[in-house]
Amino acid sequence: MRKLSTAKLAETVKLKREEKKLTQEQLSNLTGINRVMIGRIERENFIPSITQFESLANTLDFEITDMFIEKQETNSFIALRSEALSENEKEGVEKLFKMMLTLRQQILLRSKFKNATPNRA
Amino acid sequence: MNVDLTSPNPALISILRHPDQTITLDANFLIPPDRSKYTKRGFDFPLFQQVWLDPIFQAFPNLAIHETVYDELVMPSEQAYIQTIINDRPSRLIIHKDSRLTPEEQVIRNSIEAKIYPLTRYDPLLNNKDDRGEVKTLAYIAVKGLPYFAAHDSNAIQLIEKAEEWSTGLDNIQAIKMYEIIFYLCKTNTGNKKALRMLYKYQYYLTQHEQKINPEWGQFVKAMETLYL
Repeated sequence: MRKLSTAKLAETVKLKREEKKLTQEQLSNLTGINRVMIGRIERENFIPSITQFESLANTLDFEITDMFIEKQETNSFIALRSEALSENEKEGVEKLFKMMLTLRQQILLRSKFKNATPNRA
Repeated sequence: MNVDLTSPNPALISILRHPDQTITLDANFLIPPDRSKYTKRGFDFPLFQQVWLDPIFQAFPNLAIHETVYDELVMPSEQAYIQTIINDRPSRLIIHKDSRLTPEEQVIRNSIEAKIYPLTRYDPLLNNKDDRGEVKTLAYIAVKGLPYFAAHDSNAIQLIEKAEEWSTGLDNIQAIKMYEIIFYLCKTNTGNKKALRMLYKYQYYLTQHEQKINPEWGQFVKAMETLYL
């Protein structure tokens, strides 16, 4: 599956901007993208919308598709979804998925909140 | 759910001025709320339609949902109502379809989805039902640059409001909450005030905890008027 490489995008935007001797502020004025967002794109911290992407590509002369890379997705849960399972087993597997995904979500959310309030503990 | 009256929401200010903008809805804006855990009284579909659905479709000409949200409508009454709205000519509901995205948009959409889904109960490879509607909707509107997402779900709202802090990539999106639309309908005389008050109370002022953290209807309207009018 093709994915956007935020690293490639960050590197390209910074390199092309500097080649054209543009500050982030000037690039912001040319593209209509907030300067803070340009900074975040260059730090691999923001994925622009398609309109913003096109504006950046046109202003800085690069191809959007050059920012894409091929990435293989794997998921160990998939193997559990076998056609050979009975209806009861399928139901059990779906319940297991639900529990695992809820746990993953809760762990991540907890870490986000923990990082947001470092002095609380 | 918390009612936040600390500062005005720029999205509501914009909608008050230009109600014809595209507002994408989460499923919980189309499904009658069920808080039977806390009270015997509830909203059946005809009441929800009268109090909420008819007024919002009257007030906003460009409401939208993602196709996966349509799949979350399980009751025949909900499906029939939305199908009628879709079938109207011109259609009164925009359906966002991933199949209509260009190959480039599709790649960007997948990348945005990858940032959001770990913070939900959805997994794209499993394509399970939990939170699928909100993840697909948010990824779609983020890639399309559509700014407004209306929801009554604290997790979905947090993904937008904490976009920078949590790196969800949803920085361009603004959340609109149900109480903000209730206020809009009340102030523009689009809905029945008594009925809207009942919906507010049901959604935000029902439990003891909510009565501690949220204002009662009169205080709510007064505070919203101070913020927006």
